Amino acid sequence: MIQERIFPTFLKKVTPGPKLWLALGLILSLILVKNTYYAISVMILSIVVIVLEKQFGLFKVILVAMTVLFISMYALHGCIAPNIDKVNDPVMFTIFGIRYYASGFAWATKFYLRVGPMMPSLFVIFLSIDTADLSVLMCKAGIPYNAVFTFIDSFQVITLLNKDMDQIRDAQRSRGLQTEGSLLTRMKAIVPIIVPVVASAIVKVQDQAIAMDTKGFNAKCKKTVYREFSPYKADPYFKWAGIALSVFSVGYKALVSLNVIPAFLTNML
Amino acid sequence: MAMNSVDTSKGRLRGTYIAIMIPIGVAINYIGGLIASSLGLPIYLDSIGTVVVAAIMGPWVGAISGALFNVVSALIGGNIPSALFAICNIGSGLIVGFMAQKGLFKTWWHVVIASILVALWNAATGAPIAMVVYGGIDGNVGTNLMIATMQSIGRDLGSAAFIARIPTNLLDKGIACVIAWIVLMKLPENMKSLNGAKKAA
Repeated sequence: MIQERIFPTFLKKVTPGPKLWLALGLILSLILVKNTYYAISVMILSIVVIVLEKQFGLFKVILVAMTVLFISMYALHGCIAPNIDKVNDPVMFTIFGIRYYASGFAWATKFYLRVGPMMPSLFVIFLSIDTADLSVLMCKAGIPYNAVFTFIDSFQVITLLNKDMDQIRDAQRSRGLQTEGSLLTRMKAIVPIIVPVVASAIVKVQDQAIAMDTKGFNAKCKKTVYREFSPYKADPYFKWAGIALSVFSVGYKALVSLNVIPAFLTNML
Repeated sequence: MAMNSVDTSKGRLRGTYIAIMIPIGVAINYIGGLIASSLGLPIYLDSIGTVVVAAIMGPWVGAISGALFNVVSALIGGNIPSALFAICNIGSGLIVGFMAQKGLFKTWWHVVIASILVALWNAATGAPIAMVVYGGIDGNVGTNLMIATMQSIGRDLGSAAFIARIPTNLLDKGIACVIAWIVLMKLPENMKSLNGAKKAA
């Protein structure tokens, strides 16, 4: 039997701890520094990494969400943002009699470039984290086993329930359920799909609870982990890049807020 | 001892139920959101799990499930600031959970009251969070169209973001509460006591 061998990509070889440091650094820098060029660079670089990691297929869902958010924010904020002075602000263009203001465009940029670049960058980081490795890291960090189980199980149950949902939707369609058409038709499709998904999930709970209890889920003894991950050579670079970005961003914001230095990097509203 | 006679309302088995039900609530919320987007609906459907878990397990477990959903969803989508919407889901879990605990989630009019309370809470907390995270406009087409309409009749963005969320949330949370109610009615007797409500003599 021919088996497909999946070779771990560069990002997947890096252990979860350093990747979480880098994620923290990116979040803090995008929120606190507010630099247009930096935000756009992070967004482009992240999409390049997604392509290199061969994850563009999964990224399409995030790309659609980013595009919808982009269109909504730029289209509406340009006309109705709260910072617009409709008498004095310059009008960029007029369409169907609706004025699009430069200050509204700047308002949309301020908010979109805070969220937009985070989506591809954190998507690729979190997608490359193995949940089993993450659970080991959390246990070693001293987080109670029950809390770690609950957190990690959430990701796994989403995958399982998603498969159930696909099966139930296909089964209901084969029975004649309409999932396309007018808004009313689509609204009517909610209950026949969601109720069986919820019911099948709840029905399994009793059996799972008994099974987990008999396997010692509630045992009072100290839990051990048998999985060990060996550090990768790029781990220190990720970790120190994340720490440096975090310290720099917090320090920069604090010094700017205290008027010690001018906001020389900030070029958004 | 037959399975249905196991008392799950207290003791260590309740802890196991909590550890199982919280991820299920998170997953149901997530799948609800996927269904809404795959059907192209102008609503969120991302609180069904919170409401179901709160009705079955009680307010605090429901609130934790709701908060964890927003964290997990923010991690999967990479949109970390959106985790602030956890405040909305925590409130939904607490409202429905306390109502179920007090025996006020049994009839259709209980469900109507719960839907109204949850919708008002979500509109009141969702609007300022959307202002902080997205400047008032998010990716929901239905809400955005309502906001644009409110703006055109002279409302400021803050109040438009609040008012626009009321009808969307009434529909959205109404569906969530009805589904939770249906599921709660169909539960086996030993699981109905998991929310900490006093048992009938």
